[in-house]
Amino acid sequence: MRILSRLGTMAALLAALLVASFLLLHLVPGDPAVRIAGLNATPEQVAEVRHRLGLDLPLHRQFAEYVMDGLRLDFGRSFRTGEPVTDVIGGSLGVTLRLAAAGITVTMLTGVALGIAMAALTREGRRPGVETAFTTGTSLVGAVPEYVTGAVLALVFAVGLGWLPVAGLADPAGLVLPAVAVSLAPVSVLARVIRVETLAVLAHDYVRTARAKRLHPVIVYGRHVLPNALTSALTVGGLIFAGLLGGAVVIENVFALPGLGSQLVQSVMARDYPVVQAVIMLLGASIVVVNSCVDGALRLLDPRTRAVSS
Amino acid sequence: MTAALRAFRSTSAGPVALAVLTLLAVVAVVAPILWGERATALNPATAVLGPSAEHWLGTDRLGRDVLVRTLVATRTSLGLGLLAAAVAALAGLLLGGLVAVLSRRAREAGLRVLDAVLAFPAILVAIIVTLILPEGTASAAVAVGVAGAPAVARIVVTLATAVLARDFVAAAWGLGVGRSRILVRYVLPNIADSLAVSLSVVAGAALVVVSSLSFLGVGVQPPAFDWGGMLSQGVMDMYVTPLAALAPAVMIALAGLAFGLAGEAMARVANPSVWTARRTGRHTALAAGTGTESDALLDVKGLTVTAGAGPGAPAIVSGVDLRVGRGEIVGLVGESGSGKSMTVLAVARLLPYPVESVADALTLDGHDLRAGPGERVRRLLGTRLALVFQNPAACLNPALRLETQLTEVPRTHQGMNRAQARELALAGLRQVRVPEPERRLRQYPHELSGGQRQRATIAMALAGRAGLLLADEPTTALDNTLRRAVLNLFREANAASGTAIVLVSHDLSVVRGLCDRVVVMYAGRVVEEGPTREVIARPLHPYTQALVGSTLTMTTPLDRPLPALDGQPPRPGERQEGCAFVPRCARAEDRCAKERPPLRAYPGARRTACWAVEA
Amino acid sequence: MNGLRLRGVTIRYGAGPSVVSDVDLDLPDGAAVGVVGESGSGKSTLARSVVGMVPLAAGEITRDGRRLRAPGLRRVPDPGIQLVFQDPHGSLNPRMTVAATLAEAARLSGSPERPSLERVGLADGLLRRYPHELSGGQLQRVAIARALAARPKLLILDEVTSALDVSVQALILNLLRDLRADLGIGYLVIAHDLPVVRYLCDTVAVMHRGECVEQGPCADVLGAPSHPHTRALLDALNEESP
Repeated sequence: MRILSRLGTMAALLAALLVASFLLLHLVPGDPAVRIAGLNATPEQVAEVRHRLGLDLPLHRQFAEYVMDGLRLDFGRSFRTGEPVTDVIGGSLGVTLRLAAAGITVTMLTGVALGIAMAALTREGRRPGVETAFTTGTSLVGAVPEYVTGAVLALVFAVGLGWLPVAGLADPAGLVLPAVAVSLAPVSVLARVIRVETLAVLAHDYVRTARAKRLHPVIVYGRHVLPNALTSALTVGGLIFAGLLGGAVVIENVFALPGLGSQLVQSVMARDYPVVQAVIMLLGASIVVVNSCVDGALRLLDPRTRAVSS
Repeated sequence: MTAALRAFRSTSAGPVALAVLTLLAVVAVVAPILWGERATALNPATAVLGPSAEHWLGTDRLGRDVLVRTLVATRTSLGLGLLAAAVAALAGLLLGGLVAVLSRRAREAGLRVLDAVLAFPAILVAIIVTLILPEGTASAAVAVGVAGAPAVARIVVTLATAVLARDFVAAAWGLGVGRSRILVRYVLPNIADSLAVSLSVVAGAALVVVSSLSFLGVGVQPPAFDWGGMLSQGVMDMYVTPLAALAPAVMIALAGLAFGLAGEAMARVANPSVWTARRTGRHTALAAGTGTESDALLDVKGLTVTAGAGPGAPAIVSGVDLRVGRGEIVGLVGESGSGKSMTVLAVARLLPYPVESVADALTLDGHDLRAGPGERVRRLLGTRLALVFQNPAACLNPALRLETQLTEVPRTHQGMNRAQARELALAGLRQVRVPEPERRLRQYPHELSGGQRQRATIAMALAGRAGLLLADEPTTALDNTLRRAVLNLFREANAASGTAIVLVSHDLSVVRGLCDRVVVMYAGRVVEEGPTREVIARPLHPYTQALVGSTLTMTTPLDRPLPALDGQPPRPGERQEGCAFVPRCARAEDRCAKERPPLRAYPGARRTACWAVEA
Repeated sequence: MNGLRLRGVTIRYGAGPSVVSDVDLDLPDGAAVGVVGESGSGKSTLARSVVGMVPLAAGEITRDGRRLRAPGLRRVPDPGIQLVFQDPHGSLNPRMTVAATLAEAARLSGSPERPSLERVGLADGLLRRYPHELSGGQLQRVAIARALAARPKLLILDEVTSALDVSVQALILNLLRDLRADLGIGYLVIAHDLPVVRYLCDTVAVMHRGECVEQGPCADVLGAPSHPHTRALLDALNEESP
């Protein structure tokens, strides 16, 4: 029942995206055909472009073709290069996936550990100084734009110390700095969420009971607290991962990584609509996949839902 | 209002954030007037210079002074950030408010759509929205605002839904308070603090995203400039003149941080209940006094529990003696705030943070518990002492199988292997008559019925062969039928294994059926103790008399008012010289207010602390 | 008949099993009726349905012959019936002073009276306080004062004393008995504690798994129970106080 309604929502979202990305082309100010043909084109050339792109058809016919092409994964050709859009995007997707995977790994490990450690240190209002430092620190990290952290990291570790490559992915080590730069803000967000969540778990009677058993603190936190704080970690983690898929655009730019985000920015600036449309659909689909995975993981992790589905 | 101001100042971040924001505002107004022309004056002769007396932070590619440009850009950057935040806040509040007042089913659908939209990174949505908007400086800010609106809406819905479900909203509705008034007077004030934090975080984030757009080239277009755009150009010369990039970066971070901190400070001001938040102190373990060996299972002498450290800390419990013999069941009775729970937690050495305790003696099984947190004391407390809290079923961790929870004490403290501990757990479950114990061990708590969970908890508490069970209001949350079941389990454990029990309750009728002896506490001190039957039949202390008299039974006379006890017990720190019960006592004399009556012995193994009771 | 009348009241959440099934109950004006049962027996849900917080799946509730609640009927508040909640800390708006809370209730009922706590035995000095500055017993009395400001004919008391200390509980019970004698209002008392119902009510209904298994005058039902479940409830009580 819940799965069905979830799937329904996801299908509705994808349909909405399809409509939105289609309308994008018609909402933008100006005539796309004029833009493509160039400002110096003759009316005949513009008409030819318009016909070639199907822009002279009635709107509903255009939409029907757009949907059919979309289902065939045919997004047309890039206005800029004339290549098929799928080829343009294909390479970027790989780069983005690698960066996002590296980023989410760093984020989850660091964020959860930091959040629980901070909750342990500041529970019941202990060490107000540590709490202030943590809140200020995470606010600060959240307030520093990614390109600044990225640039500073590059300056120190790549240019200054020469430990890691400045840009590109020729060397797998090239992923380290971008992954760290892209994770800093999510780590501070996740650590805050986990701290609050852990504090709530710590107030439960079953944790007090575990303490009363005089178990080792590592067992209390690892066995009794962590599984109960993990639900929110996964939920937030899913959002962060979805964010990394498209939102790493700034870091891609700093480290010259040709990912999806950079592709989108270049296409937006060049008004290369077929690529923009395809990127939107691709990201939408990825988000659906990520959400479903998180949902599944949550159901597997929580003994209550696991028992119901089995 | 003064209290609110004090609250704002008391947050260390509040004044700092306010100062930074004020400074930024002044710069935003003044800088373009003073240096507007210098900031755009090109001078190829001084391009890409480092810091000098003339150009404190150096110059950029086109020879413009970095410091001047950074300051002048404040107006554009802050203005766009605030515009974006305003758009996000307004659209988000409207959208969220709309979803929140929908019927339940429509609201859930709305929430799912919001969640799905939220999965899209805001910066991407903003970039795409800029495509539709006419080109212009404000467009970027509006786009960022539009992209931020779903997040604000989601927060509004979550907060408002929680408030709408609370009893006071139902009560207002029942009185006929209208829908809009409920939103304005009941919902908004109660979500204002959380919302303030969120909105200022949104403002800070909006500032960063707008500058990111400029950095990427889709935001503010030259010749106009903001921090993001400056940074974008500065990064190209990062390795020659890092200051050209760092100066605007620092400004962005500073402004973003100030917004975030201001939000947290505002949250404190908006919530009156935190103005009175208690001070925190330092945590230390039990200390002081010389212990004496005794043959009682638990022997507590002169226990004092204070809220915080130092001589000025208010006492919650003062000089309590508590002796529990082997196999004895003792009731600890009193109103909320009488110190009964704190006494028990002090014995278990599980006091919550700023609370501390000292005692002249504190021994369990002859071992001094006041020694540091060594392995010996840990094992002693882990095995010989068990606790059950208010709702026994809630003492089980929902994420772990029963086997894990029931075997960890014997495995940790008694060196048993898995099979031995499992046998012990099975025996424990059988003892409390849980059906199919083997299957239960593989199950999670939610797979058991409520009654089975309670039984399992008690089996868990007794798994380490606990000599002493401390039960803190174990039946208060339960109805009569479940209450009886839990009390029966205690009685059986006591009969079968000789487990001694300390039962903390405010309800004499619970104590009456179970306890051999009862200890009555008032305002942190023991005022009466003795065999339960006699104390309830013939209470000596006026407080106990009131307590017994006001307890309803099925034989309470219906034709006259219940003997009730008006007024409040004194709070810790407000307690005076003499007897704490004086203000509520019908038998108080002059002496009572001046001199505190000691706990004196009376025939029949009874003790009470009252001047009015004849020997 | 003047008063509240429940006929065939059935309540269920979503497609689940019914939480309350086919309950009939009569509350003539000024009567005090108790509903007892274990947690989960549906007694609180029944109370909430009377004030419109929970929709009916079947049956109807009428007051003075006028249909008040029924499936599909628009849920509108009836100021003549006020509910007092179990948790006094959650039933008052934390951002409104006691005076503002009472003034609002009085204004809605068109009463010119100035807010006062005298009737519930509290000093008017507490009027300027916020809820978090009051004790549980004081809050519960403020909640009762707010309900009374609407000049109701019926008060629904949903476990109003079970979150309070014994000594405070006695104060509230005395207050409730005095108020009924003075104002002639009726009570619907929801409680798991039989002595409370016996102390406040004339008649009692016993609920078990959503059904009303026995009802009648308190002395009869509690003195000579006919249903095994009522007997079990009484036994549970007796065992505690041998």
